[in-house]
Amino acid sequence: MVRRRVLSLAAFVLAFGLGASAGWAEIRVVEPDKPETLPAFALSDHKGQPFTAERYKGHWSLTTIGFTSCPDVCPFVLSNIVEVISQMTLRVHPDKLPQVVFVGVDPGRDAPVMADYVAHFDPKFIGVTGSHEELAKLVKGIDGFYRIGKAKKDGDYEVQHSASVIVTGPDGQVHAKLSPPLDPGKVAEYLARKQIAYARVQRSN
Amino acid sequence: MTSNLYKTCLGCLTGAAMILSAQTVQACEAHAFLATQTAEAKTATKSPVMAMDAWVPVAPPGVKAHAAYLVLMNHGADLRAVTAVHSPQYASAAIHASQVKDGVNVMQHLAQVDLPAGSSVAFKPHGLHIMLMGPKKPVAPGDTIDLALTLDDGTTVAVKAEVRKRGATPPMNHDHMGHDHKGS
Repeated sequence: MVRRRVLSLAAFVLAFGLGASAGWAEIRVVEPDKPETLPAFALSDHKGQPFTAERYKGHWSLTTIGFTSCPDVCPFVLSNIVEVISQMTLRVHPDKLPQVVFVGVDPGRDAPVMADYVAHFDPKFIGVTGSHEELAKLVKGIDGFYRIGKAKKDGDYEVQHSASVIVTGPDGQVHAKLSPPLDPGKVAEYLARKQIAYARVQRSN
Repeated sequence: MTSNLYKTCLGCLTGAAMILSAQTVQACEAHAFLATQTAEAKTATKSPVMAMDAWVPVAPPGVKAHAAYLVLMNHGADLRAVTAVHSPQYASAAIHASQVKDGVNVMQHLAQVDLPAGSSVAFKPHGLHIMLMGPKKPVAPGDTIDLALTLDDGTTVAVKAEVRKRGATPPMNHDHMGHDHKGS
């Protein structure tokens, strides 16, 4: 991304009477100057089906990077996304609810448990993993980062990964990056507005 | 052993105030069938550190890394520190801190966590947590996880953590399940 706009959403969120309930003042959103195209990549979903950039087309998506052995942050981000989707059902047509993609960057440990892992949060969530070479393509395309640490004596290793949630539109392009903490109500409000703005642009084109 | 004492104490206190303070532990000492454990209970009154609101979110199936959260209060006049954590239900346990550095989630292993005198330290999502590795059997909502926190003065704080579903935001519970307060 060449230049980014950082939006503070506190003002309009408060205008909609949603403020203060969760104690977080704002959500942090970074939007590229114009939507960015995803690169080609070849991964697999938790059902063993191919997962490529094509799977992002035709609907909104929220994508987050993580690993299934992550005890603290990843499950909470996914739980927050469950709540975001729940909040969105109050605001948008069911067809407009985003698909949720969890990119497991620790394929050796993620692949065997991915189906159960994503279903634990929502049966509709998509768990994706694959070779590091292909993971790196998608992760780079969503301006993310991950690194697998060296194995310790007990064989365990750490995984560092970017914390943000990426918003892609029905055009399959990256429209925004949300940084935690994710206040579900505010994120849902942001996404609903984003969809309206997107539809307006589509109609004028 | 210590957990049995705890259960008995809790039984004694059913219907009473749910704050297990040093006084309530002493009250239990008077109970006849705790006579043999009096010595242990006396040691207990020395530890100024109390654990509250301990819980373990249910992890997705097959996931071997769990987290425990709690609040530790140091009622004493001296700085204390948690130097080790153990749970008989897991292969290993450690104190970790999750941090976001330059937009990247990093988990750091901590050798100890300081508990300043008269203060509380919260272990909560996206921050300090007890990482529990390798559950010895499946963990389900409603289960209780035993945690033993070793302090720098050599005492141990035994904690009961309730396993429950994870909400979108960390729950603030006030039932004080998991309160405990004793040495070992």
